[in-house]
Formats: sequence, structure tokens, C-alpha cells
Amino acid sequence: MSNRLKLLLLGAIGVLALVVVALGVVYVALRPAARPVTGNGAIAVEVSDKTCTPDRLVVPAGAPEFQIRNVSDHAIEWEILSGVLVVAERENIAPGFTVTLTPRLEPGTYQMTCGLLSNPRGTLNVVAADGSTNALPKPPSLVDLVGPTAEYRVFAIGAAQQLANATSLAAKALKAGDTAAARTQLEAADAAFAQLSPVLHLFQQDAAPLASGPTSLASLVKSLEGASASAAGNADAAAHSATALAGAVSATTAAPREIVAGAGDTVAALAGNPGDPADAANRIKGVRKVVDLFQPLTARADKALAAKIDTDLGAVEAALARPQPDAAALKPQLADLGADMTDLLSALGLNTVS
Amino acid sequence: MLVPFLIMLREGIEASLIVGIVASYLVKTNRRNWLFAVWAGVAIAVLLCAAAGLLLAIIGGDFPQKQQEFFEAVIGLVAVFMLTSMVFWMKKASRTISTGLRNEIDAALSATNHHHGIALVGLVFFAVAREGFESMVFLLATFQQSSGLWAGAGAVLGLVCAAIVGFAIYWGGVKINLSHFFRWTAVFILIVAAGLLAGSVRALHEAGLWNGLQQVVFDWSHALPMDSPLGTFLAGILGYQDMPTASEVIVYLVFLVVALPIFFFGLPVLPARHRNAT
Repeated sequence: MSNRLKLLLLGAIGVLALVVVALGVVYVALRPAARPVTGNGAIAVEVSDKTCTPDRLVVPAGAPEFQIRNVSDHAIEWEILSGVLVVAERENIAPGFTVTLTPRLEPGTYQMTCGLLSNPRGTLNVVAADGSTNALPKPPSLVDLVGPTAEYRVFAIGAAQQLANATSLAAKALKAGDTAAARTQLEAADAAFAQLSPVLHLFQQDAAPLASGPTSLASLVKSLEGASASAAGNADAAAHSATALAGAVSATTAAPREIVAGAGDTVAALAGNPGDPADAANRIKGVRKVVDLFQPLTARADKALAAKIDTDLGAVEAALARPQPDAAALKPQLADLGADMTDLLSALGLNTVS
Repeated sequence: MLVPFLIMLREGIEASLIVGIVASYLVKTNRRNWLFAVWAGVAIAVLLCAAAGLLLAIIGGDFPQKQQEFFEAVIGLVAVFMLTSMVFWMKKASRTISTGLRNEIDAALSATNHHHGIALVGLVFFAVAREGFESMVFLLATFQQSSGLWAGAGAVLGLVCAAIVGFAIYWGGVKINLSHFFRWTAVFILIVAAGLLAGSVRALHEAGLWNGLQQVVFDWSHALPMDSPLGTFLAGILGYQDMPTASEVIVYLVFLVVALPIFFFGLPVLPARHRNAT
């Protein structure tokens, strides 16, 4: 070994030794502060030769702090186990010593070793904020969301295309004076438009003329009742908007969050004012599409929620399918569904703006 | 004070054992000039661990036990590989010596000398680092938590004794004549390696990565507990566990059942080839 390398190594040792001395000085100086104050929120466990005290613990999920004190006269290790899996542990706890550990714990039931590994184990229940030991739902990954998002895009493009075609045909029929054909086409256009409700918030500019004012599909239908000079002009304008909307929809891929939140907003708006039952039924069809596409992911993340959405959405659909829907009874049902949709957003991990 | 002494003795022996074996091997293969690098590697590892332990105590962080276990497992597996290859290399070398071709070993050595030497020094460095960080945390705790100085003194004494054990292994290895060295130390090193392998499997389990075959095979925690003096000594040197699991026992036995016959009788393929040639 060359002398230069030896010097280099000696230099490294010298520098490190200085670092250690410096850290040692800092450590000694800070020693009282570095010592954790016992008690505040920490969970104290005493381990004797035979058992843990307490041997049944209920702690909140997250990162609870444990202070393990060895009151036996053996060196022990303390482990939190889930079956055979070691979740967290501390080794080499000498008699009379206290160690702390702050493991991240998901809700569930765990075992803790107490003294000798052959001793009976203690039970550790980690509970979620709502007091249950159910595991926290795991939101789907971005990759999981790609499938339903792409499928929704196909659906939206189809519906927007149908809307554009039907509106154009309605405008043509109006010009030809064929009121019956115009009505059929306008109703088809209105149905397609309503089904798009969850994502219309992304296309305000083109959607607004179709939703309200003289060029709205609803007022066009109304204008069929009596002779209206401006009907043909308005229908042309509507057809123009619908075509622009179809173009915008096919040029855009809505984000999963925008789709699911949009479906929730649609439900919330209906809960405030159900409006025309036929229109509401079409809007709910659009919501149903979103719910169905994301259903496999929902079931995986939160089975109970998936079942609840299925029940609540079914109830709303059944109520709207009745010949004379009862608006007063419908509102609470829609409100329930709206709450489900908010839960759905967080179950799918979409509640945070990214 | 006995328990802190024994804990530090075990952790210390786990490191000094590998240092002693590597150092005596270097001397036996005419590479005494590498010894300086070995001591430097030990010193740097000790100082780095001391710095890391102090830093952790200052910022008041949680000891990263899982990462530590993973680190122990990886270094343990590397050590198993290197100790085993050392044994078989020594066997080859001693056979050459017995045929009187000492120059050939020297030639072979100088060719692979450099990289092999660096790898061995690296092994020493990591073997010390793998025990050092946890030991430093433990040492600080003994000084912080015990009312008197006895626990801390015991822990330090344990480390000193572990260093003595390492030196004893080194001197023992150096003093034994090379042909004996290879035969008896080789068996010893292979048993050490088997213990390291079983320990690595255990560490992988504690790191949360290996969860198969966790049934306890036997429970000697009352007959020969690991925190008794003899249990500690056996744990440090041979990787003794008082409650081993099936996966640890299996890798331990399989390793020895494969390695020892190969060591004594060679690979079964070799004699067959000889027969064909003659």
C-alpha cells in the first residue's frame, strides 16, 4: 500500500474523529433537551419475565409512540407482529431500560411479544378515527384509473356526437316545417346532453347556450308549441354549439377527478332541485355510467361504499321511473346519493387536488 | 451490568470475528501490507457509526430497525459468500503449496491481489458498520438511562472483550501452520458462515421481507438463553439462536451439508472427469 494512500486514510480517520468529537460535545450539551419527556401521548408498556403490562392495548392508527420498559432481568426484544410478519421491533433492551418506537400502524389487530418469545403474547388493537379496526381503504393507483377514464372518454364522445347529430337534424326538420321530426330529434339531443352532465363543467363555453337562453334545447322544444319565427335561427345556433361541443369533447380527456366530482355535482344539483323527472332520469343515467365504470375500483377500495352506492343509486332510478315521481321523497334519496359520491371521491383517492 | 456487557460482547464479536478471520487470511496469503487498510476500514466504520448514533440521539429520531435489519441481512449474505470463497481458495492454495509450487501462489495472488484485497477490506468495513450503528445507539442509551456508570462500563467492557476475541482469532489464525490453518480454520469458517447465513435469514424476516417457514424448531430459551454468557458467546461466534425458526435451521444445515463434503472431497464432478482422462 502506497504511503500516499496511507496518509489519505489517516486523514479521513482524523477528520471523522473530529466530527465525532464535535457531535459528542453537541450531544452532551443538548442532553437534557434530547431526553424525551415521558407521558405526553406516549403509550407505556412494561415487560416483565412473563407478560406485558398492559397486555391489551387500544391505540389510534397513525404513528403512536410506544415506550417499552424492561422490568425483567433478561435482555429482551419487543415486537409488534401481524401473524408472522414483524411490523415493528426493538432489539437488545437491557433490564431496567426504556426504549421508544414510533411505528406507522394501519388499523387492525396485532400481537406484541412480551419478554421471552415463547411467552403469551399481548394484543394490540389499532383503531381508525371512527373506532373501527377495519384496514384503511387503499385508493387505486393512477394506472388503475386509466382504464375507466379512457372508457368514459369513449362514452362522452359518443354522447356528444349523438347530441350534435340530433340537434343538426332538428334544425333541418324545423326549416322543413316538420315539427314532429324536430321534436323527436330535440328530445334525443336533450337526453344525450343530460347524460353528459358530469363533464359539462369542463365545456362551459359550448354547453352554456344549450343549457339556458333561447338556444337551449328546453326552450327549443317549447318553441315547437306555437309558431315561432326565430325557432329555426335558434336551432341553427344550437346545432352550431352542439357541433363545437362534440369537437371539444373528442379533443379532451377528462381527468378521473373531474369525472367523478362532476357526477357528484350533478347529483348535488338534482338534490337541490330535481326539476323535470325525465330530464333528471337522463342526468342520473350519466351518473350511472360514471359509477359503473369506476365500480370495480370502488369495490376494491371500499366494498361497503360500493354496495351503498349501488343501493342508493338504484333507489333514485326506481323513484324516477315511476309515472308520477314524488319530488319531496326524491330529494333525501338524492342527498344520500350525493353523500355517497363525496365518499367515492375519497375512496378513489381523488379528493386531493393534484 | 452483566446484560449490557453480554449484549455488547455479542454484537462486538459478530464484527471482530470477521475482522480477525480476514486479517489472518491476509497475513497467511502474504498480504501483510493490506493490514493497514483493514485497521483503517475498522476505524472509519467505527467513527462513522459513532457519528450516526450521536446524530440520531441529537435529533431524537426513531432507530430505523427495519432498515438496519435489511442492511444486516445484505452484509451477512455478502460475508457468507466471501468467507466461503476464501475457504475454497485457501484449499486450492494449500494444495499448490504441498506440491512445492509456492511461486505459483504468489503469482496468482499478485494478479488478483488488488481487487481481492479491496473486497476484503470492504467486507471488514461493512461487517463493523453493520454492528456499529446499533451498538452506538445502545451504548448511548446505557449512559443515558442507567443511574450509575455500571451499565455503561459493562457495555464498554463487552466491546473491549469482543475486540480481544477478534485479536485471538487473528493470532490463532496467524500462528497455525498453513496446512493446518486451512483444514481446521476452514471448517471453523464454514460453520461461522452457516451461522451468518441463518442470521441473515432471520434479519430478512425482521426486515419484513421473508415470512415463510417461521415455525419454531426448538426452544432452548430456558436451557441456554441467548443472554447467558455461554449463549452470548455461541451467538456471537456461531450465530446461535435459542429459538430458531425452520427457515434458519434449514439454511444452516443445507449450507453445511453442501459445503463441508465439497470442501473435504471436492466437487463430485471432478473425480469422474479424472477417471475419463486415465
